Amino acid sequence: MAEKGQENGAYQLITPPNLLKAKVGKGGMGRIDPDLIKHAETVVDSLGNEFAETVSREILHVMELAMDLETDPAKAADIMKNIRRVAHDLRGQGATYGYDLISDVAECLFQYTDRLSSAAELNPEVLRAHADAMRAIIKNDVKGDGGVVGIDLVASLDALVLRMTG
Amino acid sequence: MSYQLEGLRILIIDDNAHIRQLLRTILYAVGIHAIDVAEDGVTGFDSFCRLEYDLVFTDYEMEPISGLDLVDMIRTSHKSPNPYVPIIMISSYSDGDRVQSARDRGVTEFLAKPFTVDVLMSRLESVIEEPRPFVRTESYFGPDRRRKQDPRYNGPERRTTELEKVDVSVRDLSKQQRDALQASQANANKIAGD
Repeated sequence: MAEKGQENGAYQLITPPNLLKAKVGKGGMGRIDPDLIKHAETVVDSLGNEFAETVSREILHVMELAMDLETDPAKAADIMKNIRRVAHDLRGQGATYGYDLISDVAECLFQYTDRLSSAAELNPEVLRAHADAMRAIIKNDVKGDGGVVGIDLVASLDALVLRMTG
Repeated sequence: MSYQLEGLRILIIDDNAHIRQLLRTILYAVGIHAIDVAEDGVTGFDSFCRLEYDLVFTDYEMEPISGLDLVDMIRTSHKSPNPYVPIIMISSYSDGDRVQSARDRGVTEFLAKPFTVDVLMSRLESVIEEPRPFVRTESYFGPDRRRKQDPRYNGPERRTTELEKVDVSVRDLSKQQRDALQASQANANKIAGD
């Protein structure tokens, strides 16, 4: 690759050729074909049902982990790791499929684990409260952020997390 | 005339199978069919060295090497076949410090999870239309971290815009939906009060 560089004191500025643009053409109005973008959105929408099933499975998983925590507190470190994995995955996907509120509740759960100084402080009731909220969202197919009611729900979960970690 | 995207070859490196599948599905739907995936940075870098990729998506947090370390390897390793390749970093952690550290390591664009098709497409257009020159100093090699300044621009800081939630939609809820959410809220309040 030809480098057009200029020495200027302690740094060198290089302007590589725009190979990407050369490869895809000059484009024009819309650049990426709007019909293809619409098609991609339709495909993602169709994956929404699959996502709702994934959340339902993960809710059960969180409930089981809460129960394990009560019956065998020695497993707290493993349970914490699993909860963080579930929360991290769901917060990163919810809004993509239109379930913004699932992302918000999962984020709140993740923040809860972040604020604890050790896994031994995990409280099964807090885990259940988040699982319960996610179940209400999925069971009733609440898309978007849930408006004022959704914001209130997340605020209550935030307050719960603060209360249990403060 | 729109982009002819079918000639692109893209590498996706993410330890989350759902995200790999989602990215692949969206990119395939807009016409990019040469898409390879890797579930960690070591395998991903190995793939990167074997073929000519036009664009790389990488997760931020991965093991055994992080997304940032992978960016370092792509930008500075003597094995790297294309240190100038555009890299889009995806992460749930979208706080300012993370975005800044990603830029400081040579990332081209940052894509916060969860993302929509629209935002993903805007990042793709950005790497095609707004390539930044590269800078080499003693401690850094990568895209120029200074964005072009438009003196007429008086809107919000770009980074602030990037960090804004993408799709905060307020929709009317049915009574059943409202009751279900409020019952969950009452449950959370009760636990907090106990």
